[in-house]
Amino acid sequence: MPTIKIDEKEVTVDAGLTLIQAAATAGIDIPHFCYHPGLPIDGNCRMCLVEMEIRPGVFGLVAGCVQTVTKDGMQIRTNTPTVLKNREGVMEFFLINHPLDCPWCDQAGECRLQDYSFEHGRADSRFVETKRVPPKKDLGPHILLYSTRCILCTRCIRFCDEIAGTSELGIVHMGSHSEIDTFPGQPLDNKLSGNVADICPVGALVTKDFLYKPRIWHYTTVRTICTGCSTGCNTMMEVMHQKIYRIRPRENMEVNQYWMCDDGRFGYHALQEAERVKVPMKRVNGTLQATTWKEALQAVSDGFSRLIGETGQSAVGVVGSAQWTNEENFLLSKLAREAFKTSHIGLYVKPPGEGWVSKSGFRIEADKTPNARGAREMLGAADMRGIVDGINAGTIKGLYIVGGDLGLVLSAAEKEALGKLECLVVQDIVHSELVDLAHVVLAGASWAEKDGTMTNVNGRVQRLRRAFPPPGEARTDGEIIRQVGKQCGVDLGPGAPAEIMNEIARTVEGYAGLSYSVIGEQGAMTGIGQPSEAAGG
Amino acid sequence: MDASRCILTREMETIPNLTDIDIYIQHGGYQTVEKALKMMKPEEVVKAVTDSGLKGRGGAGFPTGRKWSLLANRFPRYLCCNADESEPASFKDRKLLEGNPHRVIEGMILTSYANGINLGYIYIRGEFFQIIEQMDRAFAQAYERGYLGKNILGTGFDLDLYTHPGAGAYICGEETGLIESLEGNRPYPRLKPPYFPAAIGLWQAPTIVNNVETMADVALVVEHGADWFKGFGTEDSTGSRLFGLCGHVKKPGLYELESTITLRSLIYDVGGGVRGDKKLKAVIPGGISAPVLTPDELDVTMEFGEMAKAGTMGGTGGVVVMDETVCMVDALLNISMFARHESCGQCTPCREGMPWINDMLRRIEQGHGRQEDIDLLLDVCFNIEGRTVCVFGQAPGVWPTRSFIVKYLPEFQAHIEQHKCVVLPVEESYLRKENVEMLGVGVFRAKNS
Repeated sequence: MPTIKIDEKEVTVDAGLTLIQAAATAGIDIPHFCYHPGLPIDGNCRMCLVEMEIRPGVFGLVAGCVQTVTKDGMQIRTNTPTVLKNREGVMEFFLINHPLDCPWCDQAGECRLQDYSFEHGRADSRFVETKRVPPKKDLGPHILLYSTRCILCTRCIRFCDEIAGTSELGIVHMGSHSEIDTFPGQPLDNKLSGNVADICPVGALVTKDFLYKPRIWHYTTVRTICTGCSTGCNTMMEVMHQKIYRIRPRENMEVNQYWMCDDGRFGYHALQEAERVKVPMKRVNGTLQATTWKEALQAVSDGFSRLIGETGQSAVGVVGSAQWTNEENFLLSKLAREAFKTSHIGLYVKPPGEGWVSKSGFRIEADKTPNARGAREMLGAADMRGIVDGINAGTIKGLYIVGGDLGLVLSAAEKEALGKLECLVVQDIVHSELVDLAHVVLAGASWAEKDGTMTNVNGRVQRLRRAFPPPGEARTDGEIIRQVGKQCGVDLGPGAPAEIMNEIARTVEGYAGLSYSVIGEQGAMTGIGQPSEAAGG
Repeated sequence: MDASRCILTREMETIPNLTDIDIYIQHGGYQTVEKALKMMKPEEVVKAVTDSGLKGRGGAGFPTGRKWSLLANRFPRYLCCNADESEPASFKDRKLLEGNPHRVIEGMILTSYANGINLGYIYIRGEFFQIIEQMDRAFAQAYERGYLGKNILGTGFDLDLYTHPGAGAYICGEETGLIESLEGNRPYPRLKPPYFPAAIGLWQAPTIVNNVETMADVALVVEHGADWFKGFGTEDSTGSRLFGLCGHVKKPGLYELESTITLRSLIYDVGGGVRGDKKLKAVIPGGISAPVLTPDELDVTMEFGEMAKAGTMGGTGGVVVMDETVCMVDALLNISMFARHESCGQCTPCREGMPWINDMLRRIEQGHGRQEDIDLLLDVCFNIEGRTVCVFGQAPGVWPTRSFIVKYLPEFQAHIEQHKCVVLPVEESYLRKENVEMLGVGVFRAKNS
């Protein structure tokens, strides 16, 4: 690995890294607009020019995004008068035709033009000519283009060409008349279109979803994952006043690189618009009526107490959920074995949706549940066929089933079987056909309202983080499970997700060695530790 | 001038229907190709061209032999003959292709043979549609006679040549812009490094991009030998060159001359002097990209090296003469209109800077200039030069702008002070050389910030 000198700092980096990347390892930021680590190099913004020793003692300007580290002893200078003068010049060129409409620009606060203007810009303008005013454009179902703010860095074009592979965007016209545009009649409408707003370094490309929402500095950012499919894209969820305003991808090279799909990005609306179950309910004279937690829990234990026998003879079944975290499913299986003394454990399987792979290999999985793999491994069950058979055979008379899915659908056979039960306890977040059949309904929490981990399709365990508490009297699902256990006279152990994960690491095969500190921000693969002795398979 | 040295133009002028291959062959055409393919090794052709000291005639004056020697050692390789002649004041390639297409084809065959190329293009400016048609006919005739195609003259050497119409932008003549355009893309010049055509060119293969006149000169070098070619001109600028003389001269036109001629002699002896015997005010010596010269600077020869020493460049050899009636602000405004219009828009300094310069100049010309505009113009020039992806930023943008403003400062000042267009008498309109140097602003290159 070559050792090079950047501003008197010596760093040893891989050959082939760009100067921007090499400088970053030395803690030096080379300002740039068009460079993006996930996109092909274009070198058009000219902001990243730095001085490099071309011949002994002679320094010349090179583009930090194009020039790579090639050999030992390269000398780079990033803060000489020449370099700083260039940055001032480029910033001035960008701003002479810019509308300077920061007060109502969505990008304000996270805009490179603002940041670099602060560092390298001028307080006054030397431009007294007429500004160019290209038109505002509606590019597609999710994206608007404010051409006046555009700096033509072509990140969006390169994204559509190389990542999405759909090539909707291009430059029309020439020179200073250049504009980003779509082909006539072919809008920017692909499964990843929202990403162009993220990578736009200025306020030119914005999502219609986020347009004119409250200012970005008022939000709290929660580093979590997307629950739209089993890919488990890493995300940043921006919330305020118990409401989600925006979800953006978070870098994770092993999962989603820098991207996420539009279904996941805008999927939070389905949650926010759903009719949530906010209070526990109990069926009285054939209709569900709101009740207190105390009565609801009592109704569960009353309904099941006659059915719980010795292990192996228990007539209670339990069905877990792929929408639930590993910790919750683990607690649920513990509840089944220790409180309900049953081995009738199933997992609700959602019918698969549509999968898709982009040109760059970004995957949207057909399995639209976030934690099917984790739930299978926690519960030791792959589906609920055994449960349905058990109900039809009469060996299961009571069922504790958990939902958490906004789009839950039951097959006719499942519906018929559930209708035969003497006691059906449903723990769910929305009014669904499952809730309609229930004798007792426990109000649970959605993916935005709880902590835990989920295991994606490739076996990567990742953190889901709570943004705000569940609505109304609803409680987090792990807490409810522990209360049900307590009602049945069984203590299910510690309730904090981190502690449950430690227990999972001890007992579930493949999860040995995992803990919240190991999982961290980027997740960790299952199977990294030695197989646990306790795990029987 | 010894008429025997004007091969290219003499052929065109004295032989009727030279564009027809039979006439061309009657006058000794294609014998060079036959000689080279049958009796010379490719390396010998390269050596002859290298020894001849031939410099590229497209504008930059890069030695052709050196350019060929830089080709990456992998195959296939491609040849692009650059006939996208779009530098204002240049018309030599057009005349050459109109009058003597087979000489260019010979050069292309020899270049391909020398460099192991089996496929070549001639990228012809789209406006030259008649030339494209004529070139297609010339290619067809060459195929018929067996000078192109498979197994040329039984030597086992294959070569296919095609015409490609230009896409209508100045930047298509930039070598990597040309390659992008040939590939069917917007002609955005590529980043250099890594995309030097000799290493990664057309379709990622090593590629030679040479000017039309260079191709014709290659044919001359191989026909007559390097020593014959070196017998013309000087060591720095060998061979004869085509000069396009235009503007306010009595006899504008295309002249084939040795570079030893001075600019003064070119204008007054060859061109017959300034139109209407008016006073000469300014000369652009090598296409509008070249920095302007004042009446004090005419005793410079047309050699590449001498031109560079005089703070300008030989460029394409398109000489623009301006007489005393010309308003220098207006002339520069015209050039900057071109630069603004033809900037491809890929990189920031050029895309944003050219319109700004143009707007400021228009303001000054219309009488709305401010004192600070001069410094501002020079600073914008500084912020563009050397910071762009390709050389377009400085070529038709910065160099003319800076040289016009610095050398003809009094005329710009008069516009600003009197708030109207003022054409000063020639003697008062420009600064003497020593005064320019006192300003401390480099004309061709910024001396420092």
